[in-house]
Amino acid sequence: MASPILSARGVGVRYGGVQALSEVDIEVGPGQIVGLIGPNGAGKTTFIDAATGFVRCTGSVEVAGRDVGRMRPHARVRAGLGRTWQAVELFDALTVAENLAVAARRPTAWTTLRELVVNGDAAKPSVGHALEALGIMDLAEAMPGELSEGQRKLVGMARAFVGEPKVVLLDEPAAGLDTDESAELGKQLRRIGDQGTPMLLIDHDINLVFATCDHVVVLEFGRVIATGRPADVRRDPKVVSAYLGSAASDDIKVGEES
Amino acid sequence: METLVLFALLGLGSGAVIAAIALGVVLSWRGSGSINLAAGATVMVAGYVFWALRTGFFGFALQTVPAMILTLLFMALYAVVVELVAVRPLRSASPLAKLVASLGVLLLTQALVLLIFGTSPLNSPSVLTSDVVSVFGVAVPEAQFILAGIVVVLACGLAVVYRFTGFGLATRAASESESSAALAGLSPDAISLGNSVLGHVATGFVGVLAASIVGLSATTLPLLIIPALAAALFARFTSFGIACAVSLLIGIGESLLYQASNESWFPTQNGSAIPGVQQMAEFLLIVIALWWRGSGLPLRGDLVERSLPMVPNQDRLVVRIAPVAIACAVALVVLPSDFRQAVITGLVATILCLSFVVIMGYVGQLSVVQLALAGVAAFTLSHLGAEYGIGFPLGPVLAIATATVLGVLIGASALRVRGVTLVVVTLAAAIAIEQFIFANPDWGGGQTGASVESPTLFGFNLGTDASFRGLDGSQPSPVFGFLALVVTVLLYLFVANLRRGDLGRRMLAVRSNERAAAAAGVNVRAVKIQGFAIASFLASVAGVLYAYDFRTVSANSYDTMTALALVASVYVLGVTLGQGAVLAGFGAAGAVIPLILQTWVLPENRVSIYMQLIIGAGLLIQLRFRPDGLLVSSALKRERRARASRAEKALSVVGAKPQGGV
Repeated sequence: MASPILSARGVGVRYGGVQALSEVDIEVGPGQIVGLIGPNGAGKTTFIDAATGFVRCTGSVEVAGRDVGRMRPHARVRAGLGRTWQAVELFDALTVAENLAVAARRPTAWTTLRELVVNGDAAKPSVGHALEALGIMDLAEAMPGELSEGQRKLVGMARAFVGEPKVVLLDEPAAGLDTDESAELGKQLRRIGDQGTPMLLIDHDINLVFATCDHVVVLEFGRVIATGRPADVRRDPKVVSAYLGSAASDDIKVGEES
Repeated sequence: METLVLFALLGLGSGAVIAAIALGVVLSWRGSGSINLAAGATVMVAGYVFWALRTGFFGFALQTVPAMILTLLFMALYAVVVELVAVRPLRSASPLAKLVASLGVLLLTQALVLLIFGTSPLNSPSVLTSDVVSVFGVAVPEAQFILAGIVVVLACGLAVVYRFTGFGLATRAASESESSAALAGLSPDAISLGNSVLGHVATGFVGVLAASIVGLSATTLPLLIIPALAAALFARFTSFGIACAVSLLIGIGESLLYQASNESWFPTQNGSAIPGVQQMAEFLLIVIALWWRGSGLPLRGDLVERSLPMVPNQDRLVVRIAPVAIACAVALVVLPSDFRQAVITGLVATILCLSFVVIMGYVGQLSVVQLALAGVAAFTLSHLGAEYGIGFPLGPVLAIATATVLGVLIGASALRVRGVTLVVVTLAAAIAIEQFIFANPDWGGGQTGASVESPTLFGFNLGTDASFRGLDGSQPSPVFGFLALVVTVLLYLFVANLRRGDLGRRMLAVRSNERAAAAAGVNVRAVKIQGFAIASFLASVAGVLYAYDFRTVSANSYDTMTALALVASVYVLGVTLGQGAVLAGFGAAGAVIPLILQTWVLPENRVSIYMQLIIGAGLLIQLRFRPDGLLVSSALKRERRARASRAEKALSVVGAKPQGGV
């Protein structure tokens, strides 16, 4: 495999007395979509928080060979590590286009001084491209409060992509979407991935993850219990029992498509 | 040594009052998630009510015990009223709105007390014994020990209640996560009410006992909130024990400081001890608390549904501003002199209010230090002129730069803390600047005030005493009015323009959600500093213009209660909108609206108190019924229409083109 874009090694997180993550290794290579799945409370979101600097962790995090483990969250974003939120977290006082415009800018001291007098237009080309890539051009002037849950998710993703990240960590982008919308989202993600933006995808929709990802990592109780190609992982008995409990593992196959 | 012990013990009384207020602050935070700026006013209310019942102010005089019982019943009632008016309607509002609501309560109650009982301090009849005990051979009033003992017992009692009773468990659950507590069948409203009544009665009880020791004054008691906030910060707004212990230590420290100021080694100026050391120490204590405890400050698991006021974009600015500016320009020539003066004051106050629009409306932080920064700029201008001969235009530039840098330093000390805690630092800083710098005879104006030369450029006088006069031929000269008008218009355009640009969008992103802003690559600390720098700059410009306007600078114009009233009035009218600042500016002390009121409606010597009453009440009404601010709601409607038409246009363009593959 070519050298990874995102490389997290030995990531561990403690919340008080609870070891939420321990010794987690995850790599995302160029053009890859890696799935991160696991039961509730397995530590999936904690991993994203740790990698993006919102939670203190042990271990190392590298983006395109650059150590970002000591950087504050915004600096990691500027180093190419984008993310979305489970609860989307749009800026509610700004229109959709303005939400994206915030993320599209990489201000320096000099440009900030300029911004005191010169207006930067919210309708930047990169904003238009990101909206177009997710098929939500028509939402540019809407306020976040006026959007449906599915639309909010798309805007949240567009906001993560607009800063031209080297890799994006997506936290449950399909939660709240119906089956068709979810499948459509999978295709969009695949398309964006094929254009060169690698992703780490967390989702509860197992079918979405298995259909979209090149590689899947399974967490349980903060540890990696399985990793590999989707076809192999879905047959792994440890994964089956993590999802359904050990008693059920003999007679039910996880995620088998009808 | 003996005097040291004596003064240390004499500090227990005021330490106890601070502790009682700090306990009230902790209870409010745990019960409803608001930083209660009115906790100090609780002591004032209880003290005055007890005084009135005891001395026959209402026509009948009661003995100590019945008066105390009635006072405590009144405090419970007061707590219920505050809860119903200022807390419950804002249950799901943003932390900033909750904070501003407590500011409304503070302004309203203080104004009411001043109107009912007058402005001079009263002597409260003592409740506790006036016996003395001998400690290490020093006679110390017993009451000091009793008071300290009572707050320690109160703190322990509260800690026990919180640890072992169902009520305490429910409160702790609700402050972890309000929504899950509600799902578990606990009523956040009832929990909040319980804590509120508990807090007000306990604080009021100590307040009554201590009133004869610390004195009964409606101007000083509410400001005891500052040391109490320092103690609450050390306690992370959670621990009753730490809040109580730190408060007592602060009381002891203040008393020792007072004693030290009489010693020969204490730094002096013109033969007397330098003023304001105590307030400076309180400010530094808060900064230390923020750095030490800041990052660990717990975030309450509140259910925030309603966010901050929306921030309308303003189009066609010139068309909107031109009529107002022209009207001002005409008024500056034709009106009688006192009204011309009021217009100028209104213009300058507008600039000051614009600084609140930036820091509160755009960045979502409540800062109250701006008026003090204006004062710093004004005094700097005066001293530069008087002592170094630096006049216009270098003088104001240096003065503005000095005050702006000071402002940024103050703001930087609150950076480690998320949320709305900037108010704590800036409140303490405002008082410290007022007492430590303004009251200092060398750095500030002392008791007399400092004079300022009129600005001149190429021999042309731009000041209020310029030769071109208004129609009635007296000062102030319209020339200075025009100068103020031009500066105000430019800065108004600057603030409105900020909202439309990238920097303004980053500020609003930080205001909405600090974590999401960071994940969008926004440097949250940098944006807060930038916002604070801009706000400080605007305030400093206002300060310089004030100095030229009155041609003398006195500390009275920059006091903290005035600043709080100004903050509140901007919030009432629309904190996210420049127009709000304009109206608030013209309603500020000395500006047009108060002048109209005092000329035709209200008794002259009480106009400022009535204005404070109107603002405080207006704030509570506005938060309840028009949470966006009075002017913002209508501006929003306009903007929604504009956006709809823009979206239509964009769609029609997209539709006209053949759809290409993405």
